[in-house]
Amino acid sequence: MFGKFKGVILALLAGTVATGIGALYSIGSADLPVQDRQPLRFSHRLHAGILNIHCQFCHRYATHSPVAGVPSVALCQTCHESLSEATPDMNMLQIYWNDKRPIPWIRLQRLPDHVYFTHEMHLFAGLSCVSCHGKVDRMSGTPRAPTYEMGWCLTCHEQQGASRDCWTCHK
Amino acid sequence: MSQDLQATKEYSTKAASSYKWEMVVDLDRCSGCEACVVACHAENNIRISGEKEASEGRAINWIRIERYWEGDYPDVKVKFLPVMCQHCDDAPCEPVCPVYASYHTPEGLNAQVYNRCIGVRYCGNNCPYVARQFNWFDPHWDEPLADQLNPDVSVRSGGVMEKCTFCVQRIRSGKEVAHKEGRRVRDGEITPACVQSCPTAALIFGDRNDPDSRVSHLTKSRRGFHLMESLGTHPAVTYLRRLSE
Repeated sequence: MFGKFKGVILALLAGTVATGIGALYSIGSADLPVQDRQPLRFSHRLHAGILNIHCQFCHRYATHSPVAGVPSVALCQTCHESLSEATPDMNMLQIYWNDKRPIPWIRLQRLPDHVYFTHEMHLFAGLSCVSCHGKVDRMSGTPRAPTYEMGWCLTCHEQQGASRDCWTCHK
Repeated sequence: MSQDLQATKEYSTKAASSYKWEMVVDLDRCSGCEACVVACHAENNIRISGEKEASEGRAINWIRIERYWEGDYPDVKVKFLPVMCQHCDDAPCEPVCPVYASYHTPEGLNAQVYNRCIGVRYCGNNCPYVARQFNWFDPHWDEPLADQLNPDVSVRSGGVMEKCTFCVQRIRSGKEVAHKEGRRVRDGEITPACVQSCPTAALIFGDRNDPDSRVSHLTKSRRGFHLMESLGTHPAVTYLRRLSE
């Protein structure tokens, strides 16, 4: 009896083990929404959308540096110190400010070490922030970018007539 | 090199791109101090190998100073020869790469794309200048040395071939500055780490397509020669003979 179903049982067992390992692996590598939870509930929709603050008011290195930059707590305070609302998140901001601590934002957009990318030259070429980052002014919680893969970059480079030499972006 | 070949080479590179990066090594000026070697290690995140690995031929240096003794003691002469990737226009390392990790850029650089390299080492085997080196191990820096790594250069992992890039990260940033100002890169504006650190200015780097660049003038010198010229690799590095042979 057992001998008859031996193959089936073994196959099932192997399948279960493979699924288990696969699930464990995907938990480690997947971009789960819980990983993207920021220490403060910052809303791009409110700041960039409703209040219409320019992206580069906060991300102020974008035009002259490879990185766009995350604003310092001091920059947040330039507006927030004159706002009297006391939501839990605004109180949190006050705590960071009083403690002289930076806000430990979770970085959402990250390129591999072998990629050279500069915001400076892309803005100089006339691209706008939404071309790559999407309509963040409509997102209350900013998600991880869908994909920053080579094919995606190259499609735009081809369309815009930009360099397609490997060493333009690989370092 | 015949005049025809020279003309064809110049025409093809000019048509492809507006820059052609070349280097000149003045052997009469080289004192063998190895400042270039140190600068190159610091700039390009080159792994530290140590004595044991070096004795096994696994040390990595993108530029090395070859030393030649001539004569017998006490009448002995020492001659130095800095050797780095020659960025050959007809590079023997390029056609043998099965995954196109080794290729020629439109600006005449012999490039290695690390994330594409699968480590078959055919390119290193084919390089007559032994300019390519293989990472037999993952790199390691004792703390706090890892904090001084150059963020503009990838850290190469084990199983990847690497070599001199003419400090492509500096070329890239120099070109960006020029592009934003709507002009060409000026002569001497871009200096690879070895060129910058050379105390006797034995190394000169520049754009060969600019007829007024120092490199363009010096490559026409009667002292000029290429390493292993007979192989027909057409290197982008020109050596200038010593005046006191």
